Formats: sequence, C-alpha cells, structure tokens
Amino acid sequence: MFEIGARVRTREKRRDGHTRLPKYLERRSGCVVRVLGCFRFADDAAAGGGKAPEQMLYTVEFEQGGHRVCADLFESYLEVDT
Amino acid sequence: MSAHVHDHESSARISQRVKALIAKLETQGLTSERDLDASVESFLSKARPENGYRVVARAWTDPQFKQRLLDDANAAVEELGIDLSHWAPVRLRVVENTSEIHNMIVCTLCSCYPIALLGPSPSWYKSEAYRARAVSEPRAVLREFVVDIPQDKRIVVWDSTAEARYMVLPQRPPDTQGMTESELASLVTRNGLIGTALV
Repeated sequence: MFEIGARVRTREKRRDGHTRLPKYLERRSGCVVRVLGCFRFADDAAAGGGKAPEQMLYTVEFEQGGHRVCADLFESYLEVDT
Repeated sequence: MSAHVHDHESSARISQRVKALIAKLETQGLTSERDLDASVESFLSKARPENGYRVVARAWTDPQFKQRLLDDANAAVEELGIDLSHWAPVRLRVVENTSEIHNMIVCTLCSCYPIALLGPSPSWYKSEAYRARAVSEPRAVLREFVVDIPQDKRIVVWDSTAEARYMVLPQRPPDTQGMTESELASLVTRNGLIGTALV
C-alpha cells in the first residue's frame, strides 16, 4: 500500500504479454498523487481469460524533461523508491 | 507509411475476428447482429461531446459543482443526468487547467478515451504519432494545434493507462461574465476537453 506523496519506483515488465505499464515508464522514479482503489489486475486478466485478483491502482506523477506525465499504475508495478 | 499500412492490416484482421466472434454468438443463440447494432446505436446516441460541454459550463458557473467534479467526477456528472452506466466500472477524472497548469490527455498504450462524455475519439487521438509525442514533446504537439503554452506554465500529460478516463476542464475565457450556461457551453470544443485547444 502506498499513500499520497509516497516516492515510488517502477519495475520492469514482469513477463511477455499484456501490461498497463508503458515501456517509457519502466524503472522510473515518481510520486503517488492519487489512490484510485482496487481493480482487477489487467495483466493477469488478459492472460487468464478475464479472471484475476484485484490490486490497488495509483496515479503516479513523473518528471519528464520540462513537463510532467501522470499514469495509472497497479501496485505490483511499484516499489518504494530508496 | 509503414505504420499506416500496419494500421490497415491490423484493423482488417480485427474486423475479421469480430465477424467470427459475432457469427459464433449468433450460432449459440446469445445475440444477433441486429441486437448488437441497436445496443451500439443506443450508446452512441447518448455519447456526444455536448455532454462534456454542459459539464464544463456548469463547473464555470457553479463553484461547488466544480469542486464535486474535481473530487468525484462520476457522481458530479450523474447529477446532470448524464448516463455513464454503459461505462461502468470506469472511473472518470476531470483535471483543471489553471493559470499555472495546462493538462492534456493521451492513451499511449491504445486509445482509451471518455466516449460517454466526448463521443467517439478523433482519428489523430488514435495515431501513433500523437500517442508517442504527447508524452515526449507535448509543447511541440500543442504548437501544431496552434496552442502556444508559455514556458513558465507547467504541462501535465495524463496517460490513460488503466481504469480511469480523463477529461480536461478548460479555463473560463475572459469577458464571459454575462453569459448564460448554455452560451458558455457553446464556447467549448472537443479539443478543449482533450487539452489540445485552450477552450
């Protein structure tokens, strides 16, 4: 669980197949700006015929060279940024 | 050019697969092409950009509504009788342009878009060029839309990667104090709600 303001770092894509973690946001540091709640984990849902456990979903903000990008990322894409 | 050819090939492949799926559903007696058409038509007849224009005009004239819209857009939009039920469980979020921040919407992974509020998306929104460049060089993209954002104004790009759909709340234009809500709604454009126009 992350709270608003938490510094997080994105992981690399876990495996081949569907993901909602865009390539350009892999291994990037950002900040949680909104907690969206629990949603079916899209990567597993795509791989498992629609069945998948839920995960927390967060809006994470990244500095991107002179502007900012916000993306909605599942808990398992994120780790604490140390 | 090669991306364009690729788009055609993949859309031909998708439409073949959709036809096969519909045929299978019909054989099983689960639906018919006519029922499907009726369902799509009924959704699209309500999914119009005028919905978005009304939401913006209300937010410009009612500060409490605006606050509710920014806090919980699904609930605020339903107050105006706009039906998002076809759309569940998607979460709607409205992001506000201010004198310090300009917001812009994209879906880099595919083409997620708040159809219920804005109608079907324009073709440029789905193009590979917009999807790639909106996150890497938004200022240059905006200049091509003849929108010049000053360097001291921050640009925030919202990449609709998962369960939320985004709409921009543009700044109310100056010298519009005497205007009614419906006059204000007529000033708003679809691109203004995506962030590729100022209003």
